[in-house]
Amino acid sequence: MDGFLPTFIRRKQTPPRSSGAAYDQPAQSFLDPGAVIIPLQENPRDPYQCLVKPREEVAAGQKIGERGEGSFRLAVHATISGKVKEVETHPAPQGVHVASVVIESQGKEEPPLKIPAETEVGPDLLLQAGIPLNYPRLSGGNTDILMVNGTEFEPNLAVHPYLLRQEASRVVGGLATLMDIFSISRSCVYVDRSQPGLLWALEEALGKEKRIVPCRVRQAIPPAGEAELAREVLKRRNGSSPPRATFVDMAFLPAVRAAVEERLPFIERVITVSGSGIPRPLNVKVRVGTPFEAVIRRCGGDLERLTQIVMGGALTGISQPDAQVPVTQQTPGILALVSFAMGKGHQSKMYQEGPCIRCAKCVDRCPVSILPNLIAGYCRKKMFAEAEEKGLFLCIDCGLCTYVCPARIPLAEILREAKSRKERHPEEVGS
Amino acid sequence: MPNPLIVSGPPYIKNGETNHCLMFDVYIAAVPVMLAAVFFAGPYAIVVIALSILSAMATEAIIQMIKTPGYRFRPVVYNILTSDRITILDGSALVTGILVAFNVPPQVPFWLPVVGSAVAISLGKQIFGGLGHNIFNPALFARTFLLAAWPAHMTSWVAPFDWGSYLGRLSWFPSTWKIQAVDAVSSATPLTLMKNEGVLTPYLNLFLGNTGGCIGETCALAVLLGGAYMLYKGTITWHIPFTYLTTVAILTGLFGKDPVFHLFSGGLMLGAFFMATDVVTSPVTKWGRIWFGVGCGVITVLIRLFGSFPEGVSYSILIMNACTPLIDRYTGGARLRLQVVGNLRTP
Repeated sequence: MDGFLPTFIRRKQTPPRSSGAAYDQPAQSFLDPGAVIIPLQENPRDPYQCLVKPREEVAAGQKIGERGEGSFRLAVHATISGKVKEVETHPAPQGVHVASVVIESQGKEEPPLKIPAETEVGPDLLLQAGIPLNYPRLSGGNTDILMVNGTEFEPNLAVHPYLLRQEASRVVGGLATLMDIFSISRSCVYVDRSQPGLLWALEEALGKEKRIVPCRVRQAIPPAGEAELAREVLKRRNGSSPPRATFVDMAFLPAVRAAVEERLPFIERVITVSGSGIPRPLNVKVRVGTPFEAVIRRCGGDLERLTQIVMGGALTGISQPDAQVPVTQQTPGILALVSFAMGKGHQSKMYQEGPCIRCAKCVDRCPVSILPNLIAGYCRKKMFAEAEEKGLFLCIDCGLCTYVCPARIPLAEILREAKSRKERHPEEVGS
Repeated sequence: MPNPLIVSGPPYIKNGETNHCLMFDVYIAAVPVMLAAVFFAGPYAIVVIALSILSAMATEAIIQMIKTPGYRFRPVVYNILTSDRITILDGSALVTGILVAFNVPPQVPFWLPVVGSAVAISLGKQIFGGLGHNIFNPALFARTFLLAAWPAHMTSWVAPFDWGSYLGRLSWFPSTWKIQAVDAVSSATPLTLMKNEGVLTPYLNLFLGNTGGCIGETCALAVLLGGAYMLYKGTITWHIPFTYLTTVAILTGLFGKDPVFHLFSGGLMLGAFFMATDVVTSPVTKWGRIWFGVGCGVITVLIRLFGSFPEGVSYSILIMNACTPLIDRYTGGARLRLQVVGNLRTP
């Protein structure tokens, strides 16, 4: 009768931060994996070009392919020195199979190759460094203000706090460089109000830099809510059109700095590894393409005991069917979980889904003020028009409603399914 | 990999709360009220509460057994523990039973709480589809039912129990355990005294519960303790109790009555913390809860000061329960507003 006896514990309405200590110390380095898997695409239909063949020797930092087409072709680099094992489709953490280059290490450790000196500082240099920014939006005067989300919404990640605490000068330098390159005059960095230390670190690194404004927000902002944040912050009362904002992932800013100052390609990044399958959460600097399996092993996790591996956060991440997926440039962290009693047969009656008792905990937590219980009820009855009228598409998939629901209704899942239904059958909904 | 990895949709963590925990929080919050009830209403209150709980749980089990197609009655106990269809262990019937017992006078015949709880569960809750679907608070539904069916029993008030004389003659013989007419001195509630004779009961008696009244409503101190526990655990939010009590205090003050007397007399405290905050029958939006509390307060004051009944808490909450879907509709509009933003310096 697990879950039957009452507890006097006050249940948390927001997830407790499980990565607390991870950003207070420098990240550990894990730069010598035995093999890396470097995806050449983001989606299976994206165009790409591969410049290497199997059994070819490559050096770290060598350009092995190009992603995209037209004027914004992004370079893909080898991240370790070694021999190309194969060029094949391979699972990527986004849940798709994409063309990838598998490189096996030959035991040689050498500093990565630099970007050729003839490339001038400009968007071209960033493309050659392989930094996946939103180039069409950034260049050509489509952006008035750059925004950087320095808060960490996910309880198990600590990359943004780490970067602000340990590498604030590189973040600020990267942001200033980016503004110079794309001639953008303003930018702001959002920091959680509950972490004043990060704001101090940021302000100290800013120094006399007046173009970058640090902003405090009441609560961490989920990545999906950034567009709403920009709209809310930048709205004008006098009716003039608001400035156009573009968000940049904070993890790319040190890479921008390194590409311009040291001409280094973007081949390594900081990720947070945490979860019940890891002895203690920590930040690791890894080479792009390192398989999750190797990272978890390195951090002390026992792969035999793991029951779930998640790319990203505990609230919005993507569950992985395979531990052999690589860390990509966009991967913020890995959550390795050992959970007992996950299947329905192992659960006590108290943890099974029950009726909604309208306790309003989901409504109180929802960051966009919709009624998740009501909308989920409509979606279950296939009343999609009513659900849409009540704000189904305002949902930003933050997952907090499922986190707090005492009836254990998978609210976030129901809402996500209904939203994807609209994409699949646009004519059915709203008729 | 020896064991296959589980693939599921986010989120991957939960805060561990269950419906059962929420219901048990109400039960724990009701413990001080029950202790006060036994102290002021005498040992017979234990019998009333126990019978009421048993009746509520039995009614729920029987109705759910009948509703389950092909239910096998023989291994009843086993089925109650394991069946998905029989949910008496989720604690909602327990809480309803307790609240029904809180709403009857101390010296009622023993069958009255039994009938009341059965009506609360069957006609108040299960007929609408069970937990989460009822329109009206089941306990208040039962109270109004009993008040209409047996008004004499439901309005025969007694003075607080005289433990001194009862313990003095208590011995090992069960015949002496019986409560005699000497113990149950007929008396009126503070609100009736106020309405009919204009007598003001001392504040301390009202606060501690040393007055006539229903089993659970006399002791404001115990109700406040329970309410504080529920507020701490997050089972209820401050919106409904705060606006309800504030509205009553302000309106009674405006009409020239004594706000403190009206706050602590009658079932207002019990209603504000245990009845109006019933999650199923109150609005889900924050502003909806605030309007709900204000509406309850206005109707309570109108009934108390201008109606023919001395007490109006139960009717006010039932009327506002009926308004809950309407309140939800007009306060729960989809608003494109990110609540997380605040304290910004716009660049």
